[in-house]
Amino acid sequence: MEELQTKEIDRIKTLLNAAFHGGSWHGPSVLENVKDIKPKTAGARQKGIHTIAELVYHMTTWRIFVLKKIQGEGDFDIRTEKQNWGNLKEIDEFEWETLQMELTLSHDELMSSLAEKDDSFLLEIVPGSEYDFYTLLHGIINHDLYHNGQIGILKKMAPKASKFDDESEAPSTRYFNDDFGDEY
Amino acid sequence: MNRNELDRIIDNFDVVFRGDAWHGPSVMEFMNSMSLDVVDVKKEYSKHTICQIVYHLGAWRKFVLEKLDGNIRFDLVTEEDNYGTEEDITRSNWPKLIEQLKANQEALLSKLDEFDDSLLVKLVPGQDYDYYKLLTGMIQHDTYHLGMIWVLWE
Repeated sequence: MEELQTKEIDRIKTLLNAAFHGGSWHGPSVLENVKDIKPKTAGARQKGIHTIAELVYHMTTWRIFVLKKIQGEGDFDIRTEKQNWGNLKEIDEFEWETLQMELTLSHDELMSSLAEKDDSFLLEIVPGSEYDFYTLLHGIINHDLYHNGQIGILKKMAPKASKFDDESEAPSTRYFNDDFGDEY
Repeated sequence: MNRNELDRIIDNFDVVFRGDAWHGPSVMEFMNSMSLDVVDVKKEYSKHTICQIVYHLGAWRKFVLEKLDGNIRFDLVTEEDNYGTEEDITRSNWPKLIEQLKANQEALLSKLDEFDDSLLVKLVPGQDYDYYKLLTGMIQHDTYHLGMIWVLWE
């Protein structure tokens, strides 16, 4: 019988990285989907749906949840709406950069927390829950991609602000007024 | 015969389809509560309708089944292979789409019962990746499209 060449946890780490960075079987990774989104699109609210910025915050929150559980914090939980989705106001360039940086940092920390783990870890029960780390690690991948699918559509739904998006607003009316003003 | 890892993958595949998945909603939880009014609505910002995505999820199950049967040449190439014909994706065909998806899911689960963990390192016939990547990828493919369906549904 052929033997698997790597440990199971290593294969799960590969899946985690692929779903986040790229190289997944299913299609676009989280970062592949998010990287070309402009702040205005990230903050655009569609009726009844979280914004892309909120979804990114939410993905970070649940990565931190996994991290805390790996660190043995049985009591850690995400209880409030604010914890879950943030309390985001205007999404400008700075805020959007920060959200993306926090997401990437949470991913890096998650990966380093798994560095020393071996396969027996997968069968350990997650502190404060009834399921094991196998379920939690695959769960976070599925969670990422579920929200990534939402982001994939939401970014196409955002109002077409086109090339003026973010760098600067569309030319102000004053610009045209000035132009007209010259004629009168 | 060692079946630990394959069993866990099958379990993950099954809960993402039937329910009680860690991440949130499952395929059938969505399908069962979907109003027929939304399933074939074409939105300008999405290439595909919910009907088309449901067809797509079923088609890729068929792909795995064909590969497990050793069919090297089977592939989903065209838009129709992937997202169905005009007749497949109408609102009136919704019950059939769901039936087909469920039938493919069941067929795939029974087929996978014939294998053990050694399947995971085998290359998928005609492809450059192994069954570990294909089977875990199928689960992620489901959740990715579920996210899209959710937005289309709203």
